[in-house]
Amino acid sequence: MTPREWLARQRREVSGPLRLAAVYGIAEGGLIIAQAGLIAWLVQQVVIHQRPLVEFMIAGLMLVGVVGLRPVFASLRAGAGISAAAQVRAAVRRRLIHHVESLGPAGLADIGSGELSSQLTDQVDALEGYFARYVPQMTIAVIVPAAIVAAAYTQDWIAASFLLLSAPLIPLFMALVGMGAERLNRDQFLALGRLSGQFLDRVRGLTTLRLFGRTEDAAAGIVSGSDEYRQRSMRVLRVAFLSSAVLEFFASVAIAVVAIYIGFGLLGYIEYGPSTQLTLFSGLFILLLAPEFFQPLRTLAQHYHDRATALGAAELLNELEARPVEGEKFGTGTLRGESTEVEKFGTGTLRMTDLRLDRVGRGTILRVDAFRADAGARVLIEGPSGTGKTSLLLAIAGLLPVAEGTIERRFSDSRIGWLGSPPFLANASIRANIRFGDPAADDSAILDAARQAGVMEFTGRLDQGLDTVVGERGLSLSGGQAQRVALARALISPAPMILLDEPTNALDATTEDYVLKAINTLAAEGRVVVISSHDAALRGIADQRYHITDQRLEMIGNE
Amino acid sequence: MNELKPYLRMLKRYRGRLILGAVLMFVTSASGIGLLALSGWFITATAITGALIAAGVAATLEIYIPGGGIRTFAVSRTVARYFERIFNHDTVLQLLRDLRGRVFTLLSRLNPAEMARLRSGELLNRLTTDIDRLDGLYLRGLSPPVVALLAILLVGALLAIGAPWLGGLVIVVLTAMAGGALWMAWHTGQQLTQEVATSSAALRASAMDHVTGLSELTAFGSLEYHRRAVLEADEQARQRDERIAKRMAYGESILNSGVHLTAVLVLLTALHLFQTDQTSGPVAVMMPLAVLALLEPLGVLPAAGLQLARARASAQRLSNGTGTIDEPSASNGTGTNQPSRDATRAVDRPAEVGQRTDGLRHAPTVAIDAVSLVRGAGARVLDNLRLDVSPEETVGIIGVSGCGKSSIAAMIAGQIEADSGTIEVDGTPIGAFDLDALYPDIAYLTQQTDLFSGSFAGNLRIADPDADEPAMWAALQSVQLDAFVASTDQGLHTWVGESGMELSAGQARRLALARLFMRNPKLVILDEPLTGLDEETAEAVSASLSEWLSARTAIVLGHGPESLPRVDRRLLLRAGALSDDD
Repeated sequence: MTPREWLARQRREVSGPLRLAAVYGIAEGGLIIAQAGLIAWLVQQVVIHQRPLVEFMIAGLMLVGVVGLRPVFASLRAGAGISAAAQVRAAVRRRLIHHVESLGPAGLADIGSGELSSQLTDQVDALEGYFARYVPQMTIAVIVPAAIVAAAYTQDWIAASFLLLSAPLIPLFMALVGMGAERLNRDQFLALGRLSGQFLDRVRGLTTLRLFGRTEDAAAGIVSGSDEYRQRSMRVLRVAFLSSAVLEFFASVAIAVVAIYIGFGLLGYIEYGPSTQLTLFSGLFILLLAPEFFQPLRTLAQHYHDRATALGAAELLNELEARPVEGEKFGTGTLRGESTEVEKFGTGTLRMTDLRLDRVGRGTILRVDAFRADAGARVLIEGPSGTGKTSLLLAIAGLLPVAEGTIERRFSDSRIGWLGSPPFLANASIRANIRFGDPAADDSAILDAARQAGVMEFTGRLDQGLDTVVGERGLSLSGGQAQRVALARALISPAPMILLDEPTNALDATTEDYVLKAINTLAAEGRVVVISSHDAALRGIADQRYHITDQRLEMIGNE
Repeated sequence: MNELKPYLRMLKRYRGRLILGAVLMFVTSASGIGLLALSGWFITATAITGALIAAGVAATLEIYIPGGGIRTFAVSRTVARYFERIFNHDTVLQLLRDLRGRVFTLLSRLNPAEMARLRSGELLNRLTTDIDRLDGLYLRGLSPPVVALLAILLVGALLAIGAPWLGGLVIVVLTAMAGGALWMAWHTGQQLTQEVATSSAALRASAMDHVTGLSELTAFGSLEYHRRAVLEADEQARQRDERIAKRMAYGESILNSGVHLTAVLVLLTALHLFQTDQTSGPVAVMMPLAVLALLEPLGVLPAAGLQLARARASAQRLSNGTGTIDEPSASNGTGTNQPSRDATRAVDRPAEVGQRTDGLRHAPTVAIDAVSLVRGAGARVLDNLRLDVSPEETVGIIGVSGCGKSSIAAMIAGQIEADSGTIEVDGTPIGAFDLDALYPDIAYLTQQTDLFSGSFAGNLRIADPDADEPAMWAALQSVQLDAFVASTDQGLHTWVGESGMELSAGQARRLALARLFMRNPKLVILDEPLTGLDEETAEAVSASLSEWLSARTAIVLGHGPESLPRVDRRLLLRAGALSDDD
């Protein structure tokens, strides 16, 4: 699907409100014609026919009424468009979130999380202007000018023809304006984006730049880069603005030509065609309509960047939506692999047979001939970094499809406790972060888990305790503190299997103690605990040890 | 509007350009008004003359001047608009250039504590947007109201031809209307920017959480639970957008209809004036048409008000991020001001002594005496800390995360000040050094790895702009990165970072270390040098580090013994004090 087709599909979803917006806009166009007609008629009666103004109370009131109705329709049009855009945004975002969930971490491995969340937020919001303004205006820009020409035609076909003659030029204008705007968007904003990226990069690394004595060079680089960009984009802008100047030019010239033609006609200088029939009424009517003929088109041109922005967003969103979801059973929030839920908590087995794991771009990364862990077992998987330990844990959790072989989970519950490396912390309170382990947990259970994981040790110093918000928008926790929160989350989880990825990496001794204790507690409760690590400290507590050698998982010892 | 003052002052430099830009904008508007008003006058005049001629009266009308005027206005409107856009965009881009440079310089003066706050805050994410809002301050926010006012005055003058009192009245009414529209948009904009701070940020944060925590949430079976939070944030953000967009649209259409209504009332009044022989027919028609031509310059006012509100919010955010530059240890609350004043006495350079600008000539001593550091809500991070390092000695300091190791490093490098006590390098208090003269002799690896989008070579040349390739390969070899770099497509010239090759945390760390090897410092401070490295690589890198450190004074920080290279002495930092770790 091209981005255009993708946008068209979204348009169909909200065709009702979009059509309504266009209808209101067209009704507003009707009022414009009525307003011009009433003004011209009043002037004709009073100025030419010298009739007293008081006779036209009703016409005057009608004129005021027409003018008063215009904002009503304008507001209705804007409101309908804005509602349509809001509907599209809601639907697209919901759909994308579901799709992202179905793709899972394995299907999203090659997109940065920053990029992905920007697609879910900024890119979806970027659709706004296109649906709220551009799409309704597309219809309005065709029908309203046509109606205006028809109205002008009833008065003087030659004057109407001046307007009509410019009609074939309309698509030309649009193409011109479009080309200009598109070039603006493509070249300029790309360059601007790159420049902004470099700027941010330098800002982030300021401390380092200062230490190396390069701050002034970097500042000079930013200024000269921005200036280079200015010179480059001015070259583009000179051409791009020409195209919109053409539209302006025709709009101005049409008024001038119509005014001069009508003036000469009224003076009787033109002695053929309908000009002899011209009156001040018809002349003024056409003159008032001339700028309105071009107005919808100029509005469309103003909103053209909305289209370009939406197309850019559509390209990204369509690409994301086009990512195929592998495996039929893998739907929203469910895990791959075979899980059988027949046994009660405290029993169960994790078994892997003739397993082969592939990762896109890296080929086969790991083979497991046979692996079995029963409830209560502490299993350590060792190996240097980059040999596929994390991939194996992802596969065990059902978050990475296996290329070959089977992973069998026979447990009382399909849930799995997961402690990643680095641990995941949401931008929420510490309490909420722990609760992700079990949404149904009550406060006393959370408090318990927090105590066991050593979270209470540092939350005691915080004013809001467990309700302190952490993450980018709140308190930033040290690595050890974050690990403790994640550990409390694993402890509170009712999952019969817990997977820990490098749980003691770069930790202080106290936190490491908490981790070791928690591993023992979890195992003692009858859960399978699988740990990946290259830390020797964990060897002491493992019941089973495996090592990854030459892309193969091999058992080392069984104590 | 106070927040905008520094930016308004910045505009002064471009006063000439800005005035010319506004003049071009006004010429565009004035041509539009002239075109419509003159056209109305012209056809009415011709209609009256035509009627007289038809009635057999010998009437004439001079048509060449008004005809020429109409054509002139048509052309001048287009030409003025074109050059106005070109000219003003050039000005905006010049402002962008200046703003970037200035903001960068401001940010570069932040102390590390403020820098850390900046890094983690919203400001950095929004920095480029904020700067864009401010560079458009003049073009989209300030000049439209000025041009609109001039256009209203022009129309008032035209109306005064027919009736001076009407001209005056219309100026008052339209100015009030335009001012009201501007104020309403500004007001709505204020609300928008405030709400954006909450609801948009909540959506962004929860969407980010959903993506980064996908593995955890799926595994724990909490995905649906969290999705509800995301959709709720989405709902709120969307309702807010919808409400504000509608209010803006309604405001715009009300302003439009206000102008139309004024035109209609002017028409009726003008017709009355015509009938009472106070004005001529052509002038009576010209008057309402001139008012109608105001739709264009007034129509942009709501957008201008919104722009001003946004620019103000951006200015506020920027000054929150960069405004504290000149105040020492401003990140401390007022409650902790007492010790900080002592510190100022201890660390402050006596003005008459002057700064030490000669750097370090040999491996220096480092002496820390009775240093205390208080953070946040009164937690004593360092408590009467004492440390003496001899020349060419390598001291290792280990301690749990968050115990204040990085603060020691930052204090020795002169990046943060102690609340009390003294820190001397080579016998000189750190505060008495000209830091920029000192830094060439210090290598300081910060806890955060800073790489820049650019090639491997570009990143290494941050340390030494004139480095040749063999020197860079040697540095890469010391950190075991040479084979990896050689295996990439373009070797040293392979692009890393944004829109380039992604490096693992360990590789990035090693590249940052390699950068240090490019220099010849006398004092080395390494904050967690081996983080993210696997055991094998860490051992190899340790070996080259030990050799490199042997002739230099070095302080190496780590979370445990295994995270340090070979050291002469190992100390444990616990509860804010150092003790031997044996």
